[in-house]
Amino acid sequence: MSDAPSIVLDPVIHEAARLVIVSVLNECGAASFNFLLGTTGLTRGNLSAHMLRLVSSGYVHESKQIVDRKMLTEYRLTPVGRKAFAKYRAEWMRLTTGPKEQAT
Amino acid sequence: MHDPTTSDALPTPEQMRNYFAAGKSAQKARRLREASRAIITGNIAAFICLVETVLVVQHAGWTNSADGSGDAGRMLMVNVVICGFIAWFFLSLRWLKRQRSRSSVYVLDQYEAQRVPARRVRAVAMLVFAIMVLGTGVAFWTIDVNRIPQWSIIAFLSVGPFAVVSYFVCRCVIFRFWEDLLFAAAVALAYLPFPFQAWHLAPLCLATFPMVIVGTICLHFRWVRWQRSALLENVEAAGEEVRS
Repeated sequence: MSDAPSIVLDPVIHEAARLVIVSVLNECGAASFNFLLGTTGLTRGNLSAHMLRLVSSGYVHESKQIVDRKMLTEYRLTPVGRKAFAKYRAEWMRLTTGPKEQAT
Repeated sequence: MHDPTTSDALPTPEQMRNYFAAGKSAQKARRLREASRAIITGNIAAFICLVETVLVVQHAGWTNSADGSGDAGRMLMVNVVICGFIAWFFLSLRWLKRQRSRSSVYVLDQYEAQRVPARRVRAVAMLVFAIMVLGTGVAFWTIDVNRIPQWSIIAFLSVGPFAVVSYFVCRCVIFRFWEDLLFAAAVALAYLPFPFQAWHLAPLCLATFPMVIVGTICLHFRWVRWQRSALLENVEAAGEEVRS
């Protein structure tokens, strides 16, 4: 039996759509709702629901402002979210490349 | 049911697909972010091309008149081009800032927003490296430029163009913009007459500026086109958002 601690992937990030959203946000400091719609390919309602979950988890910060009489909703990853995503990626790499490393 | 959030078992093909899809979206975001900075990239290429062109033009004797003495008119022209570029550089950065701040698709670079301390250290290291390279160059020049072998001067002056060409090739590999290859070709072409001492190829230097301009425009229009399409798709949606 292996003594290595078992891998625990963050269930908030592990969901397919949220993984896409967090990956995109990790590349941009801040992104508007429209930008996320364009890059993730999700529907409006779907994206809203997932953003709500990410905001309530404390991984994403939401700010709303009116620009040219239009509401501009902007999202950015919080330091907690960035850390969680980095941890998720490290765990994922351990999960997918772990057996190879152990063999060598 | 297999749950990789709590087990050490390998993820299912569907989960692997999700992971790769996320990677693809992240790459798309990265490409858009870089396309939105076309003016900055173009300015970097234009600056290097300008320095190389001046170097080649000086060595090719274009600034000299028929009797070999310096031609004030031509020198003035070179200086006007340099000053014009500096003015254009600041104006274009200002325009870029205004254009990006007006955009409803707002992207900031991760490092600009996050201010990663590791990047600061890297920036300081790069500055120290640049000062060391410049200091070494000045020291060699001060000793005696005539005693320095020709090949070492060429090698020293080639460091900059080589680094910039490598930078653009790396960018092309990462972001897959053909414009980056155009910038790399322009920088290489502008410098080519100098190491081979092929002064009859000096007019090629002038061709590099249209290349850089075309590359910058194409890269910029990638961003504009994408932004327009994203906006048109979401016009109705934006209205709903205001109402909600």
